[in-house]
Amino acid sequence: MMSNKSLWIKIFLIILIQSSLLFAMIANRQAILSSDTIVVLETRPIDPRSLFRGDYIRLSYEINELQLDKLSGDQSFKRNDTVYVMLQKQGLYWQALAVFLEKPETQNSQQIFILGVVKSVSNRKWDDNLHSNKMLVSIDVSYGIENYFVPEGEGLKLERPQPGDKVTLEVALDGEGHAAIKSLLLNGVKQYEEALF
Amino acid sequence: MNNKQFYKKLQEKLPHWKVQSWLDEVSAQSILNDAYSDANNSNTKSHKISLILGIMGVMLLAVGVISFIAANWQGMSKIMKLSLLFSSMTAAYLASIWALSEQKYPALGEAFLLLGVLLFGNNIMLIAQIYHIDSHYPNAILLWAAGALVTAFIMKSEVVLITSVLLSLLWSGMEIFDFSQIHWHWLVFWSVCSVLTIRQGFHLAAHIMIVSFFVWLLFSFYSFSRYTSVGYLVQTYLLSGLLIFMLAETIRNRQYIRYFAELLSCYALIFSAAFLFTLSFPELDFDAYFDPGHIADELYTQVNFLIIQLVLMGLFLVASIKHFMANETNHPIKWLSVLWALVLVLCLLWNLFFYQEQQNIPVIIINVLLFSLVIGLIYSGLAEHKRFYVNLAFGLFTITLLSRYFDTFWGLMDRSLFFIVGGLLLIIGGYWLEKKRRQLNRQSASDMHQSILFTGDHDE
Repeated sequence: MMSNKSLWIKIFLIILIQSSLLFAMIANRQAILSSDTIVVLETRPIDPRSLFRGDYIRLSYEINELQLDKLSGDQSFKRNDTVYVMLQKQGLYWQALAVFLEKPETQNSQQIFILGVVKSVSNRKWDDNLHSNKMLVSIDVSYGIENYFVPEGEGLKLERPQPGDKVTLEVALDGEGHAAIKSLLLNGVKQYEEALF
Repeated sequence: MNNKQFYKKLQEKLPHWKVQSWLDEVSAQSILNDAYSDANNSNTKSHKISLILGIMGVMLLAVGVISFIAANWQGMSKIMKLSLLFSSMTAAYLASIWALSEQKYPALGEAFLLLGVLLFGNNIMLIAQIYHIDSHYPNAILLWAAGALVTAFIMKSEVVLITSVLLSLLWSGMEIFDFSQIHWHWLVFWSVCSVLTIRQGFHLAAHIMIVSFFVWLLFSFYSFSRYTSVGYLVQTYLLSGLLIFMLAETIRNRQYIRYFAELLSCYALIFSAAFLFTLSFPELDFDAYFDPGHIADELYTQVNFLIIQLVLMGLFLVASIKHFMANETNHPIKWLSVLWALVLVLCLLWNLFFYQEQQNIPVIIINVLLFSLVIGLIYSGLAEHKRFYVNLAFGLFTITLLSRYFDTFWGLMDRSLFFIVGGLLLIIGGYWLEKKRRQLNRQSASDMHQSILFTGDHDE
């Protein structure tokens, strides 16, 4: 039979371990959010078939779909590959410049990389002008910033904005390329901003 | 046999033992009373009822707490949300201290531990929501399962250990089906859980561990099928199941692992029988599919699968010979068992190399092997008093009979011949085995008699 003292120690140990795991999740996220490296990303119109799911919105970015013929870097990828996408500021927004399988050695204030995972590789794409498929290698990359939780009932106006509305996001990046949403803007006005507590 | 069945059996047997003068009236009554008290042990019963009610209560409480947090989510600041999450989890664990101290309410204590683990999982999901963490989502389940395993390890809790392995199976299922991975990592988690189960002698957890292992193998079938044909995989799974069965039979005599090995042996036999049954259908796909873009990679994978199968066949043959020939009696069943294994391996080899040319012969042989397995299981079940073997044999027999009857691949004439030959095989086989059994019994009785006479002479 367990003594009371050993029982207290054991339960304390469990609480300590499990709480540490939970705090590690928070600390990891906070470390990214406290980074000084912020990029502004442009979102794309959401697929009208995507449904509003609970209290979060699904976000799609220009840098989610990368056409390899327009980018430098590596050219051969497969599903679940980890990739580093080099971003460069062009006007208001940051756009993809190159994509690599290995971590790039240099980055500066003008060129920053973001870490992603290849979700799919496509060898063909529909060409509106030719009305047929053309050979084009493109990859669909996910960066872990595709979902954003919002108060109940407010998701729809962000997920399906009115014509002319523009949803943009400020994303913080740490030195390894991990991304976290720092703020969400509708027509340039901040709707939500992340704080520690 | 559980305590109640044992008590009933004793009620039947004791009068006969008294008549034979093996037991006197007083001893018989004492034995019966002891068995009755075991069968109606109110402590065990009340512990089980408390545990079941406690677990149901914990489920309701967990859902209630989660709903309460959800209902007030918008009105709370981040710090308030986090405080609530951490304090509810801590409160559940503290409640388990109260219930477990001095073994006051052990069942309730287990239930509170489970509540703590459920709230830990809830906290992972809600923190991910609060901080918009949208990474590889199976990792959240892995974290939850790992937290549960820590609790199970520290508190030696069977209920939490079962929760942990089920969560890990969910994690692996997500990796396999959503991310198309061959997910070997799960085996590490499963091994740790199994060691804990064996060390603690948990019976229910042992069932769950072994079932979860075979369920994981079935999940993995989906991943492997992207690399090779279904026919190849069915054969690989059949051989793996048979080898696991033999391994379990080999280690079952070791005291500390006995219960686990016995269960592993039973479930491996069910698993193998299921895949032998699958192989008994004609037109299984043994074609390798090659994507024009990746022929070199896929050819390499096919060759690997071929090598794996050949190695498994070799191992199975060696293991069969060692296992069946270890039996010291000279009963023909051991030769028949080795012959069965040899014919099976030849049939599987045929499928690998000549299936395209001729597929009817191996399918007929597999069906014959299936029916002979039924006879073998019934014989072994009766000879070794293993009711499970007999039940499995009847289950297998019924399923095979029904599926062959409704299988439209064979013509009516083929089916009628199949049933007639199968029926004759069973009758002749049964008669022959019974004859051999009686002959063996007579031989044993005569040997024993000689031995007693010899001992008597020696004593004089």
